[in-house]
Order: sequence, then structure tokens, then C-alpha cells
Amino acid sequence: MNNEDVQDLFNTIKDDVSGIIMSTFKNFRKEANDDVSNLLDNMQGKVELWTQQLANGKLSRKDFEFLVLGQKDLIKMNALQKAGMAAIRIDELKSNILNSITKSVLNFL
Amino acid sequence: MKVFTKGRLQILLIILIFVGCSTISRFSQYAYIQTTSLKVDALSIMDLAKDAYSGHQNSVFELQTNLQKLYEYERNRPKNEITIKLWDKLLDPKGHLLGGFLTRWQLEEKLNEVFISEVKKLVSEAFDLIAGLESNKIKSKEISE
Repeated sequence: MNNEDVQDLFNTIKDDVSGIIMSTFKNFRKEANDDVSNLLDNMQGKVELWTQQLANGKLSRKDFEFLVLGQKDLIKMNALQKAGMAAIRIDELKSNILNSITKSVLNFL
Repeated sequence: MKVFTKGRLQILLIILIFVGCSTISRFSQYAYIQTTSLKVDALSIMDLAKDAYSGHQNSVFELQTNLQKLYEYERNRPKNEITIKLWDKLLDPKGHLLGGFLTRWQLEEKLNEVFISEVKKLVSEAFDLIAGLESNKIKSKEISE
């Protein structure tokens, strides 16, 4: 293996890693956008229903407030879960990079 | 091997160390099964809140004990801070999900059925978030694939 081969190896690793990073975060961005959009639609429907139930006397003011604050807690949980999903994607990315480097080095040996 | 200069090997080593460290805990089958199982238990017990709390005190205590056992398990898993924060939100007795619901039931003795039904939807979603995060975690066998 000469100097040129090693340079090729590093270029291959660089290209592979860039490709892995791009595809990982492109997919994650789309998933996160879809989730936020679904969450907002879902929340609007619930708050409208509770407002109606409050007006009809099916829910007390205290019940209504509890539910709205519960929804707020759920939004915080959603944000935390998204942070967790991002951490999982980073681990997947690391694992793919490790596999890619190992594969590239083995191919060049 | 001279072409692998000291500098290049150091870079490769740093990359390998960086990619070798995980950011979040690995998947736990036990945590996933317990979370989904406790979701079913919690929602069933919430249905009982239309009756007097005193009549179901033992069931609530059993649920809280089982939740506490899982919480302790989660607390002792490395790199599991996000899951712990999710459980903290769900179980907070002063919050407005399962913990807060049980506190309110105890204080008010009985709760309105419409209210119970709506809080159940929130609690169900909250359990799904925890179980969903766990099921997405990398399984140990996937690391070597």
C-alpha cells in the first residue's frame, strides 16, 4: 500500500461518512416535521373538544384546567422524546461510520 | 505500514473512539415490556376513579409500587437520562398526567367520567412516548451487524 492508496482510503472514508450523515439527518428532519405537525393537529382537536365539554357542563373548570396543563406536560414529553430520538440517530450514525471505516480499511489491506 | 503516518493514525483512532461511545442507552426488552404492561394496568385503574378512592386504595398502591420498581430499574441504566425525565413528567404527583390524576382522585375521592376518559387519552400517549423511545433504541445485536 503506497501513499496514494492511503490518500484514496481517506477520501473514500470521507465520502462515505458525508453520505451517511446527509441521509441520516435528512430522514430525521422529515420524521420530526411530520411528528410536530401531527401533534399540533391532535392538540387542536382535543382543546376544541374540552372547550365544548366545559361549555356543556360535562367538565368542570378544574377538570378543564387539569387537561390543558396535562396537554402542556405531554408537549414537554414530546420534546424530550424527540431529543431521545435524535440521540438514537446519532448512535446509529456513529455505528454506520464505524462500519464504513472498518469496511474501507479492510478493502484497502 | 509507514504510509499510515502517526498523524493519520491518531485521526483514525480519535474517530474510532468517538464513534465507539454511545449517546443513549441501548434497547431493553425488560423496560419495553414493563412499560407497555404498566400502561394497560394504569389505564384500567384510572377507569376505577369513578368509584370511591378508598375502595381501590390497594390497587392504586400496587400500581404505584410496580411503577416505582420500573423507575428504579430505569434510573440505574447508564445514559438513560431522557427516559428518566419522561417518567418524572408522567409520575409527578403535582403534575397533570398519571401522578397528578392519582393525587386528585385521592383528594377528591371520586372523579367525573368524562374527565377520566380525557385524562386517559393523555396518559396513554405519554406511555406510548416512553415505549416508542425504547423501541427505537439500538438493539445490542444491531451494533455488530
